[in-house]
Amino acid sequence: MTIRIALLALLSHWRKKPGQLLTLIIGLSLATALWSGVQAINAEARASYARASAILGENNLASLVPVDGSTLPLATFIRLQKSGWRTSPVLEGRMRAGSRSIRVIGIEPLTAPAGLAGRAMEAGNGPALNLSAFLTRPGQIRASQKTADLLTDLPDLPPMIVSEQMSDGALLTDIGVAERLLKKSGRISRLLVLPGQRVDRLPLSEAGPGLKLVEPQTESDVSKLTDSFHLNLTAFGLLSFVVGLFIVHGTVGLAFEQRRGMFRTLRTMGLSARHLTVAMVIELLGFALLAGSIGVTLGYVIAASLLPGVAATLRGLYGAEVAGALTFRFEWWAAGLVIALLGTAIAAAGSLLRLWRLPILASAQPRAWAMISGSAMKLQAIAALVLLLLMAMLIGFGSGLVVSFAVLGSMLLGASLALPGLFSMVLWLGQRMARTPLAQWFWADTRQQMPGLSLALMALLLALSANIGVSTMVGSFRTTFTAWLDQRLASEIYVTARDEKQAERLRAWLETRSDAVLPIWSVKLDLAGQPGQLFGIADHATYREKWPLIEKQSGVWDDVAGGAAVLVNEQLSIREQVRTGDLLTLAPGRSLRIAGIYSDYGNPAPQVMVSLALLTKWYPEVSRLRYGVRIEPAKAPALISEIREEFQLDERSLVEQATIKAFSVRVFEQTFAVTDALNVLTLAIAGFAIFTSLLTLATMRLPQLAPVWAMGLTRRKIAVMELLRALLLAVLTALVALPVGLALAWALLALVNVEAFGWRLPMNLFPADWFRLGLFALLATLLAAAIPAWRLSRIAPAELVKVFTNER
Amino acid sequence: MLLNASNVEKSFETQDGPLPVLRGVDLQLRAGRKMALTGESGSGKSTLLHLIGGLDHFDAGSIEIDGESLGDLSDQERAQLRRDKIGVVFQQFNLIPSLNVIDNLRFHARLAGREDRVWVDNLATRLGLADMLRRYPEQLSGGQQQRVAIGRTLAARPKLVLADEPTGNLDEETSDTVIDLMLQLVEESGAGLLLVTHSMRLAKRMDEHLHLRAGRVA
Repeated sequence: MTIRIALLALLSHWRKKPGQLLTLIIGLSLATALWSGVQAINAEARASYARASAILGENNLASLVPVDGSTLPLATFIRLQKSGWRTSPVLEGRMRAGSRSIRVIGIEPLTAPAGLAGRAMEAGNGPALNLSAFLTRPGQIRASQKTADLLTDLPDLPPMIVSEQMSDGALLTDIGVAERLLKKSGRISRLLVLPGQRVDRLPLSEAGPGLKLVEPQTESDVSKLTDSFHLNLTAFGLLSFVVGLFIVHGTVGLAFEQRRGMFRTLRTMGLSARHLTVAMVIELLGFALLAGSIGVTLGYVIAASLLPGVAATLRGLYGAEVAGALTFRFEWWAAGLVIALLGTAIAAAGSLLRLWRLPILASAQPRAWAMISGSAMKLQAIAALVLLLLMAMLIGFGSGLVVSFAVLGSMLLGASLALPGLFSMVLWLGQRMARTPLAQWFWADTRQQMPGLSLALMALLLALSANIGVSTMVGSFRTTFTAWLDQRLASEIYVTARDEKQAERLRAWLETRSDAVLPIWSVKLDLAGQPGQLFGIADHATYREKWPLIEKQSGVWDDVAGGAAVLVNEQLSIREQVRTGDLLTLAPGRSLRIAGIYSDYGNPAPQVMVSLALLTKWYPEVSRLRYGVRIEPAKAPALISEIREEFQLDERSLVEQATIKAFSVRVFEQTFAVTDALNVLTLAIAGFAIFTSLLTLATMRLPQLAPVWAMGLTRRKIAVMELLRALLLAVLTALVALPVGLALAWALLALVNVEAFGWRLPMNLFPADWFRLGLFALLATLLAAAIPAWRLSRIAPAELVKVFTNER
Repeated sequence: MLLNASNVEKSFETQDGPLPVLRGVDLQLRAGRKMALTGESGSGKSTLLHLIGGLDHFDAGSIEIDGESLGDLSDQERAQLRRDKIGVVFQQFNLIPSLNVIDNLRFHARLAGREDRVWVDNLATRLGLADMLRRYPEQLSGGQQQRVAIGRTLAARPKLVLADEPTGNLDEETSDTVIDLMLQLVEESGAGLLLVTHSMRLAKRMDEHLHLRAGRVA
């Protein structure tokens, strides 16, 4: 009863100040929205990876795979069975369906593990399945509705059964059907090792020489690859959340100060500190749940609009299939509410503690909003120094992705905490240098306002720095990537034959019609414990002149052509810490010197290049379908038409260099579309923080402004000075944000990218972007300051007079 | 005895060491009686009022209200005591700015769990507030605000009313009106009143008068 009445009194404050309540709810909702939006995207992507890996039970079954990364013949499976090994064959590969690549998984249901066979047999939305229908011609295919839609135009496919247990972009069928679809007759990708193996089976070295046992993984390869991408998103979500919390902290602090008198009265009337604190906790809990629900709903909308872009990015960058539509997931709804509660608790902890300790006879007059004393500012400066020192130590001695993000965190937080102290010094200098009394008052009054505005300015600093840092990183990436594409995509035409026979005819036909035909042949294999690719490279001037080598030994091309050396991509070199001159072991007995390292942006996987001769010697069955064709650029369109006419190749099999470049650039832009969107939203939240701070401060400014007005300054002039003051602070913040943002960009390029993607990029500067951002910040601040200033210019003189009559 | 303070001492810590404010004050007040507490600025009047209201802790001595010894009570129990038996009227009115007049009037009574709507309406009428029940404190004059504060205190039917210069912020005419009303209503409610004031004219209207000088009863 007591708490209920106290709660009603506390809540009555918000009825009188609906704008303040709106600020609190919006701040917390936005913070929760961005955080839970990012979490929704991550949860959806991870669920897709889990579905994809669960198809083959990759998470709980060991496999036998060829040591050299190739496929194995059916005979090996039979030999292993005879040697006492209980295995089940799987044939995997990719086939084209429209513009998309579909993962084909062929299983042998009679030997497949129960769960896997069950998944193949379970009835979907179509007719009930039975084993004989699955096994006997024409067989059956199981796929999600989305994948089934992609496959409808393909000829010669067995009947399709839609199953929602299948992940998008993958189909499950009998191994015999998979052989036909993948054109890999009699081949097996891997053997699943079934539970309950016989103890008297022959050792693997005897039963299956050339095979290796791959233990079950705790997470799928694709989720490992994409971890860094999701970590980046999470970091952004967290940054936005922190910026949002600044608003909540400010609003709760302001409400506390405004209700000091009420607290004293309530305590005087017999409400204990405990009851009062409990009432305030209940009040905040209600707000957090309300704002959390709004935030999670908004987050859902944000995630739903960003997810198609993220799905395209993950597909383009990692080949990972993520559903483009969002499904309801209880865990992130709950997580969104929890984070809203947690955020409110963090933002309100200080106020609650003060309320708990507030003496009954404490002053009922509100102090300057969120006023911090000189000693508190010193403490804040010391904390900033400690964080910046920690950052320096982490840069000097730490390594790994988490450490890189810790560097970013300590850098941003340290700079933010240092801001009020730094501004105080600058404003003090301004005051010292001021000549006129009005100017002196202006600087002194701005300095006095610092405690009230510092939180909003810190939020603005965070948002501006993040914006400068990320846009510098993306801009540098874009510049480097475009130049790299020109080097890497040297051939004018890229052509893929339908089969080996056509490839042979194509080579002969092109011999006389082009300047050169450069084979692009590769096999997939394990490199440094990760899925990678081994390419064969032709000895041609195109590569010798254009290939983007970032480190090389003398005679590199001769050595590679002669089969004495390899080239590796930067990712492999950084991850394995190998340099030119080191030996690289590709398989037992296949060790070669590294003669050069090349940049390989957009690809997170390791890659190695050997001479074509060596590749075909090691992997005689390598697919020889793909070629780069050199010709004068002007003649390329005509030659494409001729090839199409002669060989009846479709648009996907015959591509002009410009098309691939455009596609690559599109994938690149999509990759950073999400980052850009989050960047803009973070900046918008910071703008809102400034707005609310100025608006609420304005109500407490009258005692400071009334004496100046009484001394002869017009309300209009005071309002103009208020605007100037806001602009000055925004300019100062932007000036500090520039070096912080550039340091952030450096950390992203030199630390995070290297750890997350395995490549290092040169840093480029884009002053025009900074100027634009600075103007945007000034405009946002001007807009934020306009309403309080306008109100001030129109305030009734009677209101100002009240300051002197003690009636306020 | 409604109020029995004996040998009460209180000091405040300052940079130069402890500053004694009350040096052994004795005070007794029976139910239904009115006592004025006067003294120069800094003599300890308000401090004594705060100690009696359980708003602050005394260093030595004892204070009993309606048989309950304040020194033995926890903060929680002191809060309960204030809620149930004490009403405080401040010079600064201390109304809840976000509640309107009628909600302010009812507030303490509801907190104490003994709201009597008839009594509240009666108080509102007697205090001349009936026409402004939906107004907020900021829309009232000082005299009107103090009448609401008095009404709020009496609506809870406290046994002891503590008033700290309740008319210190009002002009003489308004002050007389407010005081007349307060004394009349306190008398009718049967509560005891301890009133801190600088006004000797007002002090003479009380049943008893205690004058403090330098922290001692003069």
